[in-house]
Amino acid sequence: MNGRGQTQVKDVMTVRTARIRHNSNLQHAAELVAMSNVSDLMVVDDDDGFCGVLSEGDILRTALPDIDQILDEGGSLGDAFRIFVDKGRALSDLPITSLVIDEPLIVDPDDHVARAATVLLDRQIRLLPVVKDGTLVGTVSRADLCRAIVGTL
Amino acid sequence: MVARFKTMVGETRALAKLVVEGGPGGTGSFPVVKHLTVIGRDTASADVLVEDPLVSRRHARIAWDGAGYVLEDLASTNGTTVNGEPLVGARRLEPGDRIGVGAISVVFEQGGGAVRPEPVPDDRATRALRIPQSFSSVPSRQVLDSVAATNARLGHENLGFLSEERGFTPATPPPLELPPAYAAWDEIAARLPELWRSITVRPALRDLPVLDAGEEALPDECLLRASVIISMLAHSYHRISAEPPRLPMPDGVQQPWEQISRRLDRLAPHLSYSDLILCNWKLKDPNCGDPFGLDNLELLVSTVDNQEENVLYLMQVEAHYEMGPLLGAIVRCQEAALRDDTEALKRDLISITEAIQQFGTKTFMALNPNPYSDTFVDPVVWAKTVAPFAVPIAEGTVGPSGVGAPAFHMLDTFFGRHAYDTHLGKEMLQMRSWYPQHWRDFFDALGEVSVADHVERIADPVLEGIYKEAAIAYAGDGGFLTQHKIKAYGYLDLAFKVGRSVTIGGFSGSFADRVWDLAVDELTRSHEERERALPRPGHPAAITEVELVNPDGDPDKTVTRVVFDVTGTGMRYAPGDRCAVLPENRPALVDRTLTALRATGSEEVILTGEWRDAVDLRVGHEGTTTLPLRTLLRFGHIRPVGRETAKILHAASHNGRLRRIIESRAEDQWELWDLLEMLTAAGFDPKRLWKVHPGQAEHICRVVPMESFRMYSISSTMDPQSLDGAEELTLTVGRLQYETDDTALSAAHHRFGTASSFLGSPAAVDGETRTDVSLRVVHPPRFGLPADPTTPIVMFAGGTGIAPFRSFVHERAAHDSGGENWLFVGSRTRHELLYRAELESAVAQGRLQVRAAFSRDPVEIRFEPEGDGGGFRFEPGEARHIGDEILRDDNAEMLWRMLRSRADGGEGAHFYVCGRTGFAGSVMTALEAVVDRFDEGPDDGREERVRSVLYRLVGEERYLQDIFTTYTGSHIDAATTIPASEVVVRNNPDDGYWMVIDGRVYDMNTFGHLHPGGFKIIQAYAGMDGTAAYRKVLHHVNPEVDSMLGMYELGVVRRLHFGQEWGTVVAPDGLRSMSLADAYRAWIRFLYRVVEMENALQQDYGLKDQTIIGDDDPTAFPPIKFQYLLETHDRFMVNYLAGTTGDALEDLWAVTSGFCTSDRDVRWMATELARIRDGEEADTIRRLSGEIQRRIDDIVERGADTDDPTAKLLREYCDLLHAEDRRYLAEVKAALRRGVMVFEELERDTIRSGGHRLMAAIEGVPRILADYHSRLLSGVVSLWLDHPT
Repeated sequence: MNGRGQTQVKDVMTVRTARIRHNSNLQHAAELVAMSNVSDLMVVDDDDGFCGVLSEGDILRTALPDIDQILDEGGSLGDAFRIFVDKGRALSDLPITSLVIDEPLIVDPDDHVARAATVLLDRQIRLLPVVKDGTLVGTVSRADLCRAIVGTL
Repeated sequence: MVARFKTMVGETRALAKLVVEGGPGGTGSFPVVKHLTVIGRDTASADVLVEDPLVSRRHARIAWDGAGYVLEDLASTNGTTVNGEPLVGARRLEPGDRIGVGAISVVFEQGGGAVRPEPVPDDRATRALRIPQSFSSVPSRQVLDSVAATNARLGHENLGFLSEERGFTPATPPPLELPPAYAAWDEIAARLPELWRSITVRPALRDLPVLDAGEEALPDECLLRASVIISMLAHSYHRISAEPPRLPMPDGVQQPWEQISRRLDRLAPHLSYSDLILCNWKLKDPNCGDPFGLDNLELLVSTVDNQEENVLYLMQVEAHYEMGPLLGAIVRCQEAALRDDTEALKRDLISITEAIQQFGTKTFMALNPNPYSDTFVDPVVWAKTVAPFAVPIAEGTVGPSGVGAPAFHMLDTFFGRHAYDTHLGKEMLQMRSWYPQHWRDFFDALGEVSVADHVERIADPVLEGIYKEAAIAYAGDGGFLTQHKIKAYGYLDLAFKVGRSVTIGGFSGSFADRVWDLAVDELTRSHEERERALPRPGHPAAITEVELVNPDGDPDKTVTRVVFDVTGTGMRYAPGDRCAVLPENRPALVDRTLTALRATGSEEVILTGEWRDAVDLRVGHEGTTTLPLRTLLRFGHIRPVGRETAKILHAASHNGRLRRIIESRAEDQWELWDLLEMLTAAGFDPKRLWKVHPGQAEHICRVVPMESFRMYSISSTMDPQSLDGAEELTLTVGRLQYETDDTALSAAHHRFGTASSFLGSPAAVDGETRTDVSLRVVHPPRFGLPADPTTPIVMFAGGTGIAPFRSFVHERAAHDSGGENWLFVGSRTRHELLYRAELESAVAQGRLQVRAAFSRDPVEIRFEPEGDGGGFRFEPGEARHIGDEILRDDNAEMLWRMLRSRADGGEGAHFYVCGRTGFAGSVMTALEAVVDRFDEGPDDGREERVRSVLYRLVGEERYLQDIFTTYTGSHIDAATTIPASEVVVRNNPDDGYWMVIDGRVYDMNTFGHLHPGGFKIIQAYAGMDGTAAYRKVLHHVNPEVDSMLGMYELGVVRRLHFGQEWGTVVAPDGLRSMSLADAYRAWIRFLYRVVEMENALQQDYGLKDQTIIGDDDPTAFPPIKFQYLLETHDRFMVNYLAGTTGDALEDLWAVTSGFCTSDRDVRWMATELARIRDGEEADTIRRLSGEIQRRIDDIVERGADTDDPTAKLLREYCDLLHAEDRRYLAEVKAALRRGVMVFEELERDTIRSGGHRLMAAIEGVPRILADYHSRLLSGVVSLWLDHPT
C-alpha cells in the first residue's frame, strides 16, 4: 500500500455506529433501524461490551405472516398486509435476545483492510463489527472500504 | 409356469413351445428356450428325445434366427413334415404348425396364441414315444443332463465342471501327475516355492524345455492339470518381482500356454479360476470323514506355500464343494416352479438359505484375520505374497478374483440380478464370456426361469417369506455379501497400504487417494446393484401377548415377554438369532410433538428420498411419497434429540442456549417437543419446519430422521423341520425410563425409551390400536449353539441378557445329547431372576445348572429337588456381583475345566455372554482371574499369558458376546476429555493403541485382540480417527460391535473452541478468508495422515519377522524377503516421503503463514523443499534402491546363503532403512503435533499468542527431510566401510 496510512481497519471504520442495548425490545430496535439507516444493529451490554448483531432482516421475518394466518384472516393480500402490521405491533414488547446473532464474525481495528475486504466478500456480509478486547469500537462496511481504498490508489 | 426367454445378449425372444399329444407317453409340452433345439433319437445330443426307430439320431432342428424360429431337417432318413407336407431344407415356423417326426406330431406354439394341439392322425401312433425326463424340464436341468452326457462321452471335463452333486467342482480329483514326457513341468511346479524363495523363477523358466501341448501329444484328460501348472508358471514369471521382466515370457511357458488355452476354447491364455482354485487341490486322506474340509485339502501347485496362500485358495475349494448341492437345489427350485409344486419349492429354498448361512458362518470364517485362529490369514503377508500373484498379466484378460467364483454367478442369476452397471458388475459380465462352455450354457439356462416371478405370481405369503429369507441370506442387509464386504475391507485396506497397489480387479493408486476406500465403495455399489432385485426385508407381524415377567421386581424396571404372531410369514430362526423391530412412537408423544410444532397432524409432508426408502420398510406404506405429519412423527426419531437434529435447529434459530447445549453435547437430554417449546418461547417459529420446501435444510424430514431397526435377542425356539416357518416369536424387553435434570442445558422430565415403550406396553395388544409391526430376523455370524451338541456351553446373562439363553436352554433340553449347560445370572434382586419357572424345570430335569448373583439382595440361591420337580430356594447370604460368583472356588474350578480345550485336557466349552457393556466387562475380568488362579507358569510374562488364553478363546470362536448398551440419560460433562495430541502418540506397543471413533477415545490394547477382524486392521488406525473406516464396515449400525467397544472407552476427544476467529490466506485463486477452525482441521488432518503412514510403515517392515515361504522360520532371511523389504522402502520414498513433503505440506504452509504473518512468501515451502530435493544427498538417496537391488541380484545369482558377506550387508541395509524411514515419520509427526498442541493450549487465541510457535513447527519440516537424507547417507557410508565388498 502507499504511505498515507489508510491500510488498517481503524483508519476506515465508522465509529458512530448504531448500537442497541442487549435488554432492549423489538420496538426500540425497529426505531433504531429506521433512524440510523443501517442493515445491522450492534448489540452491546451496559458496559459497552460487544454482545452481537441484530439484523433488520431477522426482525422483518418475525413479523411476516404465514399462510395459515393469512387464510384465517380472509386470504387476501390486504389481509396479509394487515397481519404484518398487527404482528409487528404485537412484537414490539418482545426482547431482542432471541434474534441476536451472539457470536458473529468480527474484525480487529489493527487488522489490514484487505483482510476485512476478503471476509466481507467471501462470507457475503455487508457490515463487520470492529471489536477490541471485547469492546465495540466501530463497524466497517463494504462502502467504507470502497471509499477508503479506491481513494488511496 | 412363468419363464422368460432371452437370447444371449438379453433381448427378449418370443415365447415358444412344442406341444405333443397322443402316444403312450402321454401329452407333454416342451419350452423352446435354446438357440438350437435338436429333435432326434440320440440320448446325448437331442433336446427332444423321440424313441422311434423311424426317427434319425439327429433328425431335425429348430433354430432362432433373430426374427423367428426356423425348422430344418438334418438330412434325416425318413424326413420331416410340416402340416403334412414334406419339409425341404428349412422353413420358418408359424404358430400352430404341426411338425411330423417319425410317428409323432408336435404342434409349435408361439407367444400367447392359443393353438390347440391336434390329435396325431397317424396309424403308427401305437409306436413307442417316450417323453424323456428333459421333456418337461427346465433349461437348467437340460444343461445339467446334456453336460453329464457330454462328459461321459468325452471322458473328461475340459468343457467345464458341472454336476448336480458337485456343483462347479470336478467329479474326479485332479490328476497328481502328467505323462512322463511332461515330467519337466511336474518337477518345476514342485520346485516353485523354492524358486520364489531364492527369486530364481525367471532364469529357471528360461531353461524350461519347450514341450508340445497339442492334441496329438498331450491327452485331453491331462489338459487341465497342465493348464494349472503352466498358467501358474506364467504368473510366477511376472509376479516374482514388482519389476516387470525385461525378457518376454520364455517359449517353454508361452507356447504350451497358448496351445492349452486354444484347446480349452479360452479367449486368450490366462490364469483362470479353475487353474488357481477348482483344479488345484488334492485330498490328504481320501477316506477322511469330511474329505473336502480345509484340514484335508492340499494345494497341487503353490507359489509361496505359506498359510495365507493355502487357506485362501483351499477355503474356496471347500466352499465350492460345500455349495455343490446348492446347484442341485437351485435347479430343483426352478423345476418346482415349473410344476407349480409349492411344497418342493419351499423345501429347496430353505435348503438354499441354510447352505448360504452355513457358508457364511463356517467355511468363509476360515479366512480369519485373528492371529489366535488356526486358519489365520495375516493380511500383511497375504497382501504382499498372495494378493498380487493372480493379477492378470495381459491387458484385457481376466483373473481369478472373487468375481470369478462361479457360485456367485449362480446365486446372482438365481436371485434375478439384472443390473451389471457397476465396475464389479461389468467385470462379472465380462468374466462370463471367459468361462468354459458348460458354465456359460448353465448360466444362460438358469437365467431363463425366474423363480422370483413365480413366487410373486403364486402370492403365497409363506412362500414369499421363504424366498425373501433366501435372497436376503445371500445379498441382503447382514447377508453373506455384507459379511464378505466387511472382511474384504480389512484385507483390502492393508493390501493397498502394504501390498503392491493392485488387486486382481485392477484398482491401483497411491496412499493419498485412499484407494482401499474406493475399492470397498465399489463392493458397496455392486452390493446395492444386487439389492435392487431383492424383496424388501421385513415381515409383517402383530403383537399378541405382552406379559410382565418380573411382577415382583422394581416397578421402574419392568421386563416383559412380548409375543408376536408370525404365522404365514415364512420367517425362520435358530437359537442365538436376533430380531430387528422397527419401533413407533406412542400417540401421546406424537400429540405433544404436534402441539410443539403448532400443527394438527393432518398436514401432508412430501418425503425426501431417504424417508421414502425408510417408509418402504413399514408394512402398509410401501411406495409412499407423502405422509401426514402425524404418521411421520410416529415413524420418526423424536427422542432423544440427535446431534444432527440439534445442529439443524440451531442453524435455523441461532438460539444461544441451543448452541451451548450442542457444545456441551447435551442435546440428548432433550426430546424434540420440549426442545421446540424452548426455541418457540425464544421467538422461533416451529411451523417453518413443516412449511418449508422439502429441499430446505430445516425441513421436517431432515429435522426428524427415520427410526431405525432395534435389535433384540429372540427368546423362543421353532421347529426347524417346519416348512411353513415359525408361528410365534418371543422377545424379552426391558422397559427403559430415566430422568433428566433441570439445568441450564437440560429440562427436568421423566423420559422413556421409544422401542421398549412401543413393545412393552399393554396398549400394543389393545385390539383397536394393534398395528402390524415390521420384523426382520438377523442371523449373527457368531452366536449360535455349537455344531456338536455334546460340547458344553456356559452362559452368562446380565438382566434381560437372559433373552437368547431361554431359547438355548429350550433347544438343548429338547435334544438332550449330553452336553453340559451352565447358566450364570447376574441381576439386582431375586425378583429379577427372569423365566424362573422354566429354569427350575430345566434344572429339575438335570439339563441345566444355574448360578446367580444378586447385587442388591443379600441371598444365596440353591435348587431343592422335590419329586419330579423342585425349585430355587433363597437363603440369607451376601449381595454379590457376577464376578464374585464366577470366582467362587467350585465355580472357578468348573470354569477352568470348561475354558481349556479338549486337547489341553479341558472340556472346550463354548462361552456366551449377553448383557450390558459393564456386565460383559465384569465377566471377562473375572474369567481372566480364573485363568490366573490356575495358571502354573512362572510369574514372568504371567499377565500376557493369562490374557492370551482369553484371546485364543475368542480366536477359536468359543467366546461369543452379545452386548448391548441401554441409554440411561447421558451425564453431561462427566466424561474425561482427551486432547488429540495425546491420542496420536498411542500407536505403538510402548505407548499402547488408542483410537477415536465418533468423537470418543477407545483403548484398543485389549479390544484389538478380541476384534474378530484381527489386530492389524486396528493397528492400521491406531493413534488417529478411525470413524470413516469404522463406518465403512458398518460397525456403527451394528449395535454389538458398538456396545463391545463401550467396555474400552477412555473418554471423549477434547473439542476446541475457536469461536468465529478467522484469518486471510493466499489461495490459488487469490485472497481468501478462512475460519480458524478450518485451519485447525488442516493441521489435525495432516497429523492423522502421518500417523496412518506410520502405522502402515510399521506393518510393512513387520514382514521382517514373518514367514514368507512355506513353513520357514519367521526370522529366516531368504532373498525374497530382501526384495519385499526393499519394495517397502521404495513405497516409503514414493508415497510417504513425497506425501509428507508435497502439496499437502505446501497448502498447510499457505494457511499457517497466512494466519500468522503478512511477510512470508506463500511459495517458501515449495522452494525450500525443491532445493533439498535437487541436492546431491537427495539424489544419492534416490539411487540407493538401485544399489541395493544390484546386491540382491548378486546374492540371487550366486545362490549365496545367509552367511554370505553381501547377504549380511543387506540385512544391515534393511535395518538401517527401517530405522531411518521410521524416524523420519516420527519427526514429521512430532513437528505437526507441536503445532496441534498450540491450538489445544490457546484455542481462539492460537494466532494472537501462539502464531510464532505454529510457524516454528511447520518451518522445521524441510529440515527433517534434509536430516533424513544426511543420516541415511552417512549410515550407508559407514555400512560400506564396515563391509568392503
